[in-house]
Amino acid sequence: MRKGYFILWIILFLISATIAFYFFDFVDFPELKLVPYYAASSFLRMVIAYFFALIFALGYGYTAATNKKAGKMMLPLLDILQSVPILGFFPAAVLFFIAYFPGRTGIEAAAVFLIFTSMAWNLAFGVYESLTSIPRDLIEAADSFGIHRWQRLESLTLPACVPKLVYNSIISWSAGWFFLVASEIISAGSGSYRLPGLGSFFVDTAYSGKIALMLIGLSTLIIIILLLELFIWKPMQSWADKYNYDYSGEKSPGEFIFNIKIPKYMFRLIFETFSNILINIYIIFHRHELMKRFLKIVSYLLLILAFSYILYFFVILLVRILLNMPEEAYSIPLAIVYSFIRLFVAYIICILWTIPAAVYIARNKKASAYLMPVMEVSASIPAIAFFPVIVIVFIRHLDIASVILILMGMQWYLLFNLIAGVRSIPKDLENVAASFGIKGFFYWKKVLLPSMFPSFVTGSITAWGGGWNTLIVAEYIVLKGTEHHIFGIGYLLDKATFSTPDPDMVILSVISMVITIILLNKVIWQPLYRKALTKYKIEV
Amino acid sequence: MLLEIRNVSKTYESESNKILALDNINFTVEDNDFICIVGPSGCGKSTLLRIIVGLEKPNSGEVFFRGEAIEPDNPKVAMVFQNFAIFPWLTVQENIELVLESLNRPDEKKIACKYIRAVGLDGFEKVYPRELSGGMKQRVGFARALAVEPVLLCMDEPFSSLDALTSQNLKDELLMLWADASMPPDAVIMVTHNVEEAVYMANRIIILSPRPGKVMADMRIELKRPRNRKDPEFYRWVDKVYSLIV
Repeated sequence: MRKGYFILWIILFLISATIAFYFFDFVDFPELKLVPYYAASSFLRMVIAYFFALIFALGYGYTAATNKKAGKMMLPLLDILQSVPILGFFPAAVLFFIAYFPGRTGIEAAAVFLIFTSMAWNLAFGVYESLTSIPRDLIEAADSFGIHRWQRLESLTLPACVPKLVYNSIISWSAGWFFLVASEIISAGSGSYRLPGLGSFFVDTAYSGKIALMLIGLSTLIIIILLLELFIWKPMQSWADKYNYDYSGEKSPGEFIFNIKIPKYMFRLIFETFSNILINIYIIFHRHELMKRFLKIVSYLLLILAFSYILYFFVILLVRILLNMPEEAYSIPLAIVYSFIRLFVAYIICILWTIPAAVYIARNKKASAYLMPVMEVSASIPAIAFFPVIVIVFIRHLDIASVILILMGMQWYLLFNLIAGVRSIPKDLENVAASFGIKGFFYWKKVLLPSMFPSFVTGSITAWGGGWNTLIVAEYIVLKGTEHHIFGIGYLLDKATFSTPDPDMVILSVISMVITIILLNKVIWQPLYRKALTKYKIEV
Repeated sequence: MLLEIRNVSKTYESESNKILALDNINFTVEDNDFICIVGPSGCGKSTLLRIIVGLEKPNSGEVFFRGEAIEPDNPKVAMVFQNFAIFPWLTVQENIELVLESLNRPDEKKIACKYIRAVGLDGFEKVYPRELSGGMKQRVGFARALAVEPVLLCMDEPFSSLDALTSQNLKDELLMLWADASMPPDAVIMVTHNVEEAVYMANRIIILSPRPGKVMADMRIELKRPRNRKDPEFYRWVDKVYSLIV
């Protein structure tokens, strides 16, 4: 319990410090009055993007799970979408949306779209997985008791999605925060496409030297995230637990700080209203056989139209670009190599410190009692929020700054996965090591490192994903009107978007980046992952 | 005297209360003993065994192996685990060589092969554990423990996750190794909740009481070997042990 109060003190301290600043420093910093407005606009973007992501996920996941033919196409597509560096698309999305909605609307739409892409795939996977993993006997029971159509939706399909949807929503939100702040930071650098929000506030205040103000913005963000965790996610998780058909029934969502008791009927009410709407839509469309058929034809037509439009768009585009290659395009391969080296250096540093740290934290009860909650909180804060500070300190050595920035985008994934990995080593294997005197170097080589291997692989995959994303903000920085950059794919992308707009270059850069990432996944990570699942899997 | 357990007590502390698991345990193990520790579940049998091999420290009392305080990595004492506890990323042979290497034994390959044969796993040296059945995994566990050539072998319900036929075979092989003076081990301590198994194998049975665990009885089983389960005399012993537990 003690560690809980420790965190509580941090929150209280942050809140009171923030409030104190509001009242005492108004005169010096007129910008402060804008902080609530910035926070509200950042939060609103998140809510809108989440709403769309949820609708998308239910539709996509449901179709992929129930329609086998469509599923064969939709799943690999989702897999590719998930491995794409979302930030890489931001410049492209900005150009695209600006073309259709000029001005503020366009950039807002681009930001919401960006956040949407960081939330949607993961949620859709959650829906798909929960629908396909409904235990067979439950389905058979529903069949044998004649539970069909909307009744089935209400009593089986929707409830089955609840636990995964809640769990993945938490992940989606923390990814969303990262990309929200990132998009605001990027746009703040560009000058012409500003997004008012906490992220741009960090950049403005940090770059003009008002560090105190920046810290206030930062603690506002932390407070929002912590309050959400405390009042929404944790209570929701314990509510969602009853929808688990895990009969062993031990998995309770550990205590975060202390459990706030939100009356369960609130979530039930929300869930029931939501599912009622869906069920009513379902009933309306399935009432008449004719309507059903009509709907089917229309949806197929729409799908075909959408696909052919996208295909047409891409072919035309590629042909045009290939016929008229911009000069700069030939530097893309080299840029990718440069960026890759940066990522690799950061990754090595990451490995060097996270492995010993993970072992120490997981093994040392005292350290983990104090460090874990602190790190849980710091991991829930998008690392990107600290970027302006690093930029200011290292602006003269951008090569160093970029590696540090990439490191911040990578390290947490690895650290947390590794800690979980060390924790999950069965006690018996530890006992074997102790009772047969397996120690020191030998112990690390034969026992500890192999047993961490699966978590190392999953951690590395997510860390590299984070790293590719971070490139976009690490290689091109606009500080007080001057542009600082180092050569790399992130720089090419940003330049083609913001300083010398060139849609063709943006598209070429994004495509080459995506191809590189998919290749790396196929050649390195997937084989390693398969190995982790077979050779290094510990059966309990 | 091989092993002495002197005034061993153990309490577990949870947030709200303390639970006394073992209460002042005393007994000694002689050079050729085959001891079975039996008792109802939750009486602290496994805890006692872990204290005996040094994996856990008692709150009070001591364990002496040949007059010296026990250390978990003592090569003269080896342990067989209930759930096998073999490393999934190492082959059968590598699993056994691992403990030999850590003890700096020469000829690790030869010794490993010898004990792989002794437990009847020849032909499976290069196989990974996930391809083995439960009974074969436990044979790896036995081979690993025997390969360090321990004087004392400690086993925590080694047969409980195996089927009846496999476990009967393994029991007989183990009894042969124990009776064979040229092969390890000299003495065995086995934790079990199966009274018949205990009467079949042990020459001494130590009965623990329900929580907190105390030594209720320390009895010699004076039955001729090989023992016969259908022998009425055998059942008299089983009944006797049961009457002491209940």
